Amino acid sequence: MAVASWITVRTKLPGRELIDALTFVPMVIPGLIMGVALLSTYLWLDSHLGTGFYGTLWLLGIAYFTRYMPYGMRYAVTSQQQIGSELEESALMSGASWWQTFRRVLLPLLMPGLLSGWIYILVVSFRELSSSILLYTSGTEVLGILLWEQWENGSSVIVAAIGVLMVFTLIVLVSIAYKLGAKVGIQQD
Amino acid sequence: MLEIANLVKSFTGEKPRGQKGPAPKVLAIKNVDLQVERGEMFTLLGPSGCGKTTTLRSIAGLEKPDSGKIKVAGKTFFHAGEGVPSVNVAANQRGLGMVFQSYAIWPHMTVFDNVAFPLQVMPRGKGPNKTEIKARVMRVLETLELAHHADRQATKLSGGQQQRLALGRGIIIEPELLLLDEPLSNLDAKLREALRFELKRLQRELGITSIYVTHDQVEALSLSNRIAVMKDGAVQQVGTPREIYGRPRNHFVADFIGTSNFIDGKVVERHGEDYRVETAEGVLALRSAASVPAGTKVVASIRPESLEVSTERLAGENVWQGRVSARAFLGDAVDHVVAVGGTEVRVRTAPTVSIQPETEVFVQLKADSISLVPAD
Repeated sequence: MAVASWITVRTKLPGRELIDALTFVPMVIPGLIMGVALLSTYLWLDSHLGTGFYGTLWLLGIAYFTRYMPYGMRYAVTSQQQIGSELEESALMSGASWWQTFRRVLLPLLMPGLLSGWIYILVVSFRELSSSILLYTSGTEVLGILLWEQWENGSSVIVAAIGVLMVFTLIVLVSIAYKLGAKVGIQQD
Repeated sequence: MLEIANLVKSFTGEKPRGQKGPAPKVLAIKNVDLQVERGEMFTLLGPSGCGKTTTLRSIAGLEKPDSGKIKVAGKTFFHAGEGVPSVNVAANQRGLGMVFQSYAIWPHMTVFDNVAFPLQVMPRGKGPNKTEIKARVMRVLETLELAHHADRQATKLSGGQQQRLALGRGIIIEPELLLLDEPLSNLDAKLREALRFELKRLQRELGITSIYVTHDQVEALSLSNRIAVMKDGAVQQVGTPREIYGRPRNHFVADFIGTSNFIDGKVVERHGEDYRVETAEGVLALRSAASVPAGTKVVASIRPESLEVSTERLAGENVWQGRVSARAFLGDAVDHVVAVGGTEVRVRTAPTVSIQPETEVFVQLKADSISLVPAD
C-alpha cells in the first residue's frame, strides 16, 4: 500500500492514476456482490489450479483486504502527500538507494498514517457481515457471522454478550495501536 | 572542477484551451555554460524563476536536463545531445553533498543519526565501520557546535541549529562538491547575517567547492568568490562580487544588484577606454572597458554611493547642477534624490550629511564609477 501510494504521489509513471483508480474500485461494489465475486473466483482457482482457499480464514482475509483497500490507500496517499519531497531527495543525495530511502526515511514517516489506516480496517473488518456471510464455512465463522447466527436462533442474550465483548476488544485494540503509533512514528512533545 | 556546457532543460507548460497536440515546452534553462574552480564558493544569483535552482538540481541529478554536459572532478555526470552517447549518473551515485532550502532534516531521527545516515547507507565493505562512523560524525558535530545535542531529536533544534545540521549531513562524506539551495532563506535577518559569516568561514576551512543558490544579492556579494547572475534561464554575467557590482555588463545586472542610476545617452567620442557620452543633461566623461563605437546608444549606470553632492560648486568633471527633491534617512546613510533637468538621480551620502529638499545643489558623477551598459 505504501509503495502504491508512493507511485501515485511521487512518480510521473504513466498509468499511476490507473493504480490509484483501481484501488478505489472495491468501494463502489456492494459487499454481497464482492462476496459472490470472490467466492466464484477462488472456487475456480481451487478447482483448476488445486489451491485450497475455500473454507479457510485466508479467503476471509483476502476478502477484507480487497474490500477495505480503498480506505488503506486513502490513508497512505494522504500521509505520502504530507511528506515533503525534499525529505526523500535529501536521502537520495546522501547516497541512499531507493530501498534504503523507503525503509529508513519514508516508511517511518508514513507509519502513523498507515497505522491509523490499519486500525480503521481492523475495526470495520471485525464487524463485517455481507461478504463473510457468503464465504464462511463451519469452523471459520467470524464474529459478525456468529452474531447473525445467534440472532437467527433468537438468542438475543448471547448476541448482546458478544456485542459487548466486541466493543471492549476493539477499544483495547485501538488503544494499543495508538500507543504503538506514538512510539513508531515521529516523537511528539 | 565543475564544468557545465550548453545545458538546456525544459518543462511541460500549460496547454492553452482548445489547442490540440502536445503541451508547449517552457525553457527553464537555456545554454548555460559555467566553470567552477576547486575550492571556490560559486553563487548562482537571480530572481525567482531565473533557472538557478533548476541548474543546481541538474548538477545534483534530481532533475534531468534535455541536453548538455555536466562534469565534476573529471567524471561526466550527465551528457546528452545529438550524436553523443548519453550519460546520466543517478543522484545517489554522484557522491555530492546538498543542503536544501527546507533543510529536509529527518524528523524521526536524532541529530547524530541525521548526520550519520550518508555513512551508514554506503555499500557494504566500502563504508566505514561503526566506531569510525561515530568518530567522524562527532568530529563534524564538534565543528558545527552541535556535539552536545547529538542524542536529541532533530526537530527539537532551533532554526539555526537545524541549518547547521543540514550542512553537517552535506559535508560528512567530504564530497567533491557541496550544493546549497538558499540555505539561509528560512532564518530571520539577524541569524542569517551571523550564519553567513559562519558559512564562509567553514567553507574556507574545509576547502569544499560549493555552489550556492540565492536570490539575495547581499548574501551573494558577501559569501562568494565568484557570482553568476541569471535571468530567464540564461547567465547574464559571471565575475567576482566586485566586478559584478562595480562593472555590471548589462541593465539587468546593474538593476538587480544594488541600486543604480540609469542615464540614457549616446557615445560621442572614444579614445581607448576614455569615453564621452552625451546625455540629456550634458556630456559625461567616463572610463569603461566595454568596447562601444562612437554613435552607439548606451545607458550609463552609476551607483548612488559613487555620486558626490554638495551645496557648493564642486571642482572637476561631470558636475551637474540640480535641486534636491526628496530625502530619506536610512540609519547608516541618507538618500537624496536630486532632480537635474528632467533626470532624477539618487545620491547616497554619509548619515551626517542632510540637505533640505528644494535646496540647489551640485552633484558629481565620478568618471571611474560609471559603467556603460547596452541600451535595451
